[in-house]
Amino acid sequence: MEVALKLRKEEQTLIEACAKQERWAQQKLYETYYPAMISVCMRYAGNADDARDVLHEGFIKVFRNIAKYQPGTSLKAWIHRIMVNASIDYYRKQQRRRTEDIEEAYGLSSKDTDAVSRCSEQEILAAVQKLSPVYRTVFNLYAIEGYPHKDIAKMLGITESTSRSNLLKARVKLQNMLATGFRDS
Amino acid sequence: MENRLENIDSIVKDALRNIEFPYQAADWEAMESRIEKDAFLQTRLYWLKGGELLLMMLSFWVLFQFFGMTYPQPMPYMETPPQKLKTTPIPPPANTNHIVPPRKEDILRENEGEETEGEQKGIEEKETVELDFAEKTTPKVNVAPVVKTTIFPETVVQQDVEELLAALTTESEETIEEVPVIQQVASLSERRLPNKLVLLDNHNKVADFVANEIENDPVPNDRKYPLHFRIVASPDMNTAKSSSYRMGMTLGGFTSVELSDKWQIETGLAYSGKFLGELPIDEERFPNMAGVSKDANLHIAEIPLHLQYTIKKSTNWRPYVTAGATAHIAMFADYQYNNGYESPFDTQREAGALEGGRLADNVYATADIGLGLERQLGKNLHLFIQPTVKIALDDVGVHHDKIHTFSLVVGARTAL
Repeated sequence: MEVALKLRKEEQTLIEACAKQERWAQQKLYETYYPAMISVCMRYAGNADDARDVLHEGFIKVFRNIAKYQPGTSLKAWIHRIMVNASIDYYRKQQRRRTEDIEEAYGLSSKDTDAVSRCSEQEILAAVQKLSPVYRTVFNLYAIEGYPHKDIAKMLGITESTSRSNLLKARVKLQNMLATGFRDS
Repeated sequence: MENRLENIDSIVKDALRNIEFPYQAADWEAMESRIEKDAFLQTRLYWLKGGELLLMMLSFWVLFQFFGMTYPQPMPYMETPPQKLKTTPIPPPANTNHIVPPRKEDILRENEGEETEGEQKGIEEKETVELDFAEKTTPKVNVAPVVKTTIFPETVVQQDVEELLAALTTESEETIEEVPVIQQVASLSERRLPNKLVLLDNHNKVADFVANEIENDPVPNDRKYPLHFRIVASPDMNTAKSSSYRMGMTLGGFTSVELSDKWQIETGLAYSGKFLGELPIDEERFPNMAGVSKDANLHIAEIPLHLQYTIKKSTNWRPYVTAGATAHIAMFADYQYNNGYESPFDTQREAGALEGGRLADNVYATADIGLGLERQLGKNLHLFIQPTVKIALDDVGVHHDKIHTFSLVVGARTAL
């Protein structure tokens, strides 16, 4: 109980020190939220190096806008939101268009979902990272972050129908990769 | 097929939503160099440091002006002496009749509250969930005493409490019966209950939440008119009858009350030193002193009454306008006549209000108007700069000098 009280005060002190550009506070904030936020960036980036770049861009935005953080709300959720935005910015810079043979993908879609559900977290993450940037970003925003297609279309500068189509393709490819990879192993 | 494809959403979401990776110390080095390269952060840092340095320099200058003040020396003899002459320089008058005014620290100390038992005890003393309010009350916390027979006092909206407890039971394994602090929850004001979002996110127990909110509630729950305190300092440019300006300074503390989101009313107390030189003598009143000038050193207490209007409120900046009036009381006054002249008055007539002089001679009022810009630096710290013009509505002293002042007020504000 006392630890919880202390933690809240420490968080407030940390935020105030970050607002004053104190380096020790910035490092403390970075260390505290690194484990959770790097995983968010890993989902959006294709590899660990890009994920690190996105993470650092996100933390730069956190430090710039820390004075705007509203006390009483979740700091983790606030930073998470900034990381998602940084990931979207990264996607826009790295945008490539790919065409996929959706008929071939549908032909492989009859895999057993039980096999997919037995995949480990690392395998699932690796499969997500193997998706093309546009599929990966749409899938993350819809399936994990919970944004509707309307908002995704605005964020990524695409139409709603493109968003739905990309999501469908992402799902097919994911299921194909996970089922095939599990069966092979 | 669609259902199978949608199932993969939940599979991936469950797998990746809470995944975490171990911290890499090498990544912080890369982050640090990234911060140093970021021009925006560096610019803000330079602004902060530059502002602090400027404020410090201004404070030193003001203090230097105050402690470095010396009495002006009389002018040498003229070749054709008029009727009244003085053969020896006039020494500074002896400080025999001064009434030592109470120090501002003494005045403020009388109004300070004592530290209470609740403020002195640290968090380490909390060991049990049920807090004994009778022993740990503080004057700053407006909490109704807990009545064990009443679960929901009038200060709490019952629906909020029920929602809070319902949300807790879905998030934690504890049941309502196992949480012994319903009474403490019920004793909180409505204003504290919205913080339940923080509670749920951090998975704190109700006791932690309650104990923290009660212990660390420094602001009274229902303060209708928030109080602010400003400490101000300014270099002044004063003028009276002559075309030249003379420097002075002002130091003080002001208290303001918020009347609404945009309006504040402010008053306080300030010391102002006005060092006016070469003021002409009124030749109609003193024809024998034609061509003679005087130096006037006035130590003035100022009591302002200002209305402040916030032009616009943004996250970090607040431009505002202030207008009102100030009562000036010359506590101590010293006049030195040039050209070797003595004062045409007896000593007491020229004395300040605290030196035995007449109060009517030493009081005057000004109409003030200023334009200010405030910058928020921290959660409860604001710096401001406020150029202000004070136009004398009447004159001061036996020579009827009207003193107009232009001030560049700087300072800091905090909420009480």
